[in-house]
Amino acid sequence: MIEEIVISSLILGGLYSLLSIGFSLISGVARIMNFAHGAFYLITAYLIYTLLPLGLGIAIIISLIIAIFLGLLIYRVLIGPLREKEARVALVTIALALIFQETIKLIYGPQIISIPILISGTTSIWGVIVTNQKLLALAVAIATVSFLWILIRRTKRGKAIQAVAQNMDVARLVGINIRSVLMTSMAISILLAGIAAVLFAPTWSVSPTEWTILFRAFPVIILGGIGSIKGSFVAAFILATVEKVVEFTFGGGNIVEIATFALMITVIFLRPQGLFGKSSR
Amino acid sequence: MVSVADYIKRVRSPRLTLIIILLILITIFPIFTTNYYVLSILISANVFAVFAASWDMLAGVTGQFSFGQALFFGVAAYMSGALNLFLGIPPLITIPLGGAFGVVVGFLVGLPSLRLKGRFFTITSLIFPGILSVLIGENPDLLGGETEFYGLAPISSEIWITYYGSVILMLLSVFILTRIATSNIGLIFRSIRDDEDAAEATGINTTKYKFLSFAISGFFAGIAGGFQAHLLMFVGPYVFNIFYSLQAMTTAALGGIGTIIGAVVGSYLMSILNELLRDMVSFRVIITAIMMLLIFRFLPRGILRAITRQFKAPLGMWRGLKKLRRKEDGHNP
Repeated sequence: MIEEIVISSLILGGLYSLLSIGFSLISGVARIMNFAHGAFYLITAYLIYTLLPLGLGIAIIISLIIAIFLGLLIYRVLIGPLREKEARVALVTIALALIFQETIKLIYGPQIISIPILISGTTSIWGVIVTNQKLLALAVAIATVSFLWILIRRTKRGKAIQAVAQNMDVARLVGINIRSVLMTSMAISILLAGIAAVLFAPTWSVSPTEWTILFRAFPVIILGGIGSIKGSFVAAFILATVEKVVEFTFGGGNIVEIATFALMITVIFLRPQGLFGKSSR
Repeated sequence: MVSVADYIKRVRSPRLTLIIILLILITIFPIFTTNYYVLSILISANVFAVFAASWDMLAGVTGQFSFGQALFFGVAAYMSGALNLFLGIPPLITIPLGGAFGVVVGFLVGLPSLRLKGRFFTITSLIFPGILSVLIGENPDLLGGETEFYGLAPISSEIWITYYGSVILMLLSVFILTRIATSNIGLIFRSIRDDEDAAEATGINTTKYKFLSFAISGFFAGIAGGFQAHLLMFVGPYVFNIFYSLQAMTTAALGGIGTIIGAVVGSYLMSILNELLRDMVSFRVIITAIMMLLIFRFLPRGILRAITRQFKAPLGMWRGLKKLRRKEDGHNP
């Protein structure tokens, strides 16, 4: 049973880390709350579903590109001009997510769709049988996050992103092109949501209301600290473990949600900035 | 001719004129029709006006952009429902008690929320209604679960009495909220909204006043929730739905954030819009969402201000003409 908990919580942690890091990145750099983040997960899944006749590989690549361009367009027209007004950005992006949800519902209907898995078969680890798709998902998720970590720590562009996240005014003073950094962050953030869809949408169901998957990542974001990538990564696995332990011990159901909420409220009380977050400003 | 023209000259506020015309229309409306359907639309417009105004007090006036206003609405709806159903207390008493319970919850939620700012506050305020919705929705033993909270006493068996009840509720609430917003307390609230550090530096106990704002907002949202519960004679976890919170926000913003009265205008406009879209159920959410997006992106100060600005220009021109004419007549006031 312990093996089962470990493996399933690692896989769930992979999904949480992709979703929450994407959200945290743009949240930390641009200081906005992008509630439409989950919608990009949804859009990518439906685009792959639509473009399937072209072959799975091509469908995935084209879907990711379209999702990123859509996201950048949305950023330029709707989010960017409001960037300094947090509450309005949050409202506009919630509205956007609803618009996507309803548009998809009108086009594809409200039923669940399924996306083909990337690889088939199962593997037995410590006597626990796991589908290869889930293992691949976990591996790619960790690889993606490590790659992002190197990108941000080592490259010039990554350092620019860090600088803007730390202090936008000073970053502007030293000659960093703020707008371009923000657009890069937005693109990366959407790419992460898209990758999450490619990896995890085949094993979870996808329906027009699935953008609310973002709300499942919120406890992770609070625990890790809003805007902290390291925090989101660590918190993703902590929370996934907590969820799985509770699920296996008490048999699942809403006790899992209650445990998550309890953890979240405790964190808010004791350490509102999260495990790795900066002050609550 | 002591007429409208004279009145406008004296008051000089197109907004106030608009409000007074609206008021008269609302009061005499049952003369035109006592149609059950039409009146019930207006009743819920009034209830939502109170709900949106309560959010406006917290967000528009005090600057605490709560995303979970449905929490107050919901707990009060349940409280009123429980008091009525289990203790048989009439709606006239359960509704204010629901409001009082909204105050209590406002304090409880304010406790952790007030330590947070900006993005942290937004996410936290979103969570609380979600918790209750899950708790109640998935535990049938607790407060009737998904369905079993039926059979509340109606406000009144006569629809027009209910209508006037909602009108009185709306007018009283908006009047009190406006008075608070324009009082010294309102000034402190607005100073917290504009610059909390500066407010703190001038010696204002910002935490205390934020608590106060939470309590006031919770009270009026609670009253609206209690009224709604008795109106529908049914309470369910739906009251905690995030779309209720969003509707309050969109309604208040449509009329104009920070104006209180804007919530009323917004609420009536939303009701009209909803009726126009009644036959297009599948487009309803998308159109509301598009409207929400357009308002918050392009018209953040609300439709009321946009309209009155349009009015002001011709009105000013007309006044100018009158002045000119008087000069020509040799009239010297």
